Amino acid sequence: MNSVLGLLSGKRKRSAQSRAVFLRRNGPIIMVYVFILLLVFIGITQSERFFTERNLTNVARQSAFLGIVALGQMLVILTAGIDLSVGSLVKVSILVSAIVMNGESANVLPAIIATLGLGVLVGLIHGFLINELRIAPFIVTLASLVILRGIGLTISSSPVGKASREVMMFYVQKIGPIPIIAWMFFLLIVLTILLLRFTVFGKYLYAVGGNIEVARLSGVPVKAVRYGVYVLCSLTAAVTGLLWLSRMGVGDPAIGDGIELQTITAVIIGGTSLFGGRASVLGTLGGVLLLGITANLLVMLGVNQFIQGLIQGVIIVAAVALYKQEGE
Amino acid sequence: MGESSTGKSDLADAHRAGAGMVGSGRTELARALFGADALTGGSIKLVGKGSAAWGSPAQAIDAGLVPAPEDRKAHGLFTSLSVRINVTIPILSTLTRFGVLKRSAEDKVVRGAQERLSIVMSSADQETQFLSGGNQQKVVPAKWLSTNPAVIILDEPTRGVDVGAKFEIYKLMRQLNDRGIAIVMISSELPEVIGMSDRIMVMNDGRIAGELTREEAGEARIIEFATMGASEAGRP
Repeated sequence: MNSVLGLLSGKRKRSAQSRAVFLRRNGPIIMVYVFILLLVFIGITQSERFFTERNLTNVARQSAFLGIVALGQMLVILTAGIDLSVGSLVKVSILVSAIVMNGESANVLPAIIATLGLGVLVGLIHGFLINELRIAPFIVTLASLVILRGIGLTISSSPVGKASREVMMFYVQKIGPIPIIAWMFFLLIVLTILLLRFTVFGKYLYAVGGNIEVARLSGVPVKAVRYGVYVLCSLTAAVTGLLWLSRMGVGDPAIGDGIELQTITAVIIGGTSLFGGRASVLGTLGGVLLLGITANLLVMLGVNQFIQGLIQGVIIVAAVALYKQEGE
Repeated sequence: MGESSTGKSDLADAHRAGAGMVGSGRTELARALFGADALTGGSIKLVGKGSAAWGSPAQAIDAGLVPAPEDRKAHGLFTSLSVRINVTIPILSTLTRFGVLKRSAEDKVVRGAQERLSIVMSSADQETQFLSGGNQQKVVPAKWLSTNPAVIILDEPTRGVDVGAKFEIYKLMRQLNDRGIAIVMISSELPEVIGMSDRIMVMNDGRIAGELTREEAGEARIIEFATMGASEAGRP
């Protein structure tokens, strides 16, 4: 008798529910893209330099720099974790790669291996502290932020090392009208979508973020998943350190600061829940583009640097408020 | 805790219930059986599998032993995730080809579960939190049936559900039993313990205080075992 009542009222309620779910999942992401179009419109009408190939190429490159780490950050946040150390790891990565490379073509491969190895090592240490010593990811990676920054500034407080000629050329190379670095970002976006949709590891990320105890009781190898995701995230930071070397040409210790907050911002704007279990790759891309275009536009329009920070803060609060509304 | 008495006899075709009061160690025993917590002593034997000492739920699942925990929100379901992932998660690694998940294989598992348990949902991608309470309750067994288990541990399967849903759960337990799946039910509701069980073990203070067959069982005897020694030990 209960089920009859349920059936009678169920039909209408369900369609309303699924629409609500669709809106909650996609509404804010659609709004992010609408907002991006609005910014582009403002850019085109208010600045002559905005809609030029040169500037758009720059925006694409800068978005790729932020976006690659943001993808790693998104995977960690999907498991209800967080990685505050990515900015410092980018810093150490550019220094290590520049020093090992030292301007020699023969040293490119050793530099890449050393830098990626560093990324794996940092990720494993995070995984160990979070899994085995049960320290909260926030604390572990906050400590790591401070330690890695300290290591970076100990290595050198002024630019050191040198990129080889090919590595510097990599930054300006294009395939078609699009910089190769932007293609790399695009490829990683596609790979991340495939990872989340079609692999067991991807589903395990949702499970761990959805409810870690249920995941464990369901036979999910929770520890291995967390080791894996922190290694992946650190690897994205190491790769970005290498890309920064190709851009700067030297190991500049000023690089990397603040990347952790920018990536977290982009991920949140993109609709990924800080509580885990929910993530959107296209949303994260939207968040990255929104931040990138905003920053670019503010420079183009000659807005004061400090006001730029203020505006980014307003964007975060607005985005979170939006998701909260849609979620209720 | 986790004494050998929990698994030495033939479990197949047996409903066995662990009665006893809340706090008597029932849930702890179940968690240890399932590998969720470490054993402090004794061993676990599963008929046909020899002696098994599993250190994780994943190994217990492989051996054919699955849990349906007491608190479905906290331990049984990913409420914010789809029905699809909830039902397939324990067997995901078997649904792949060259490391890639086969959507058709997933759909087959979900459809099978949906039909067997008549789960009402709008699609496999619906989040379980938007199912009705009764349908949410069905997703937990749906998930475990997908693993083709030998033994299911049900911890308070009827707590907090209405009379109609209770009846559904009892019916499901009978069906599972008919298919040769042994059930270990943990409950403090004596009528269901007596009505559903072939063998009853009463727990008291972390130990099995007594074992009764269906014929011997009665409320008075169960309560006697469950409270035995309580007064002289002077526990709170």
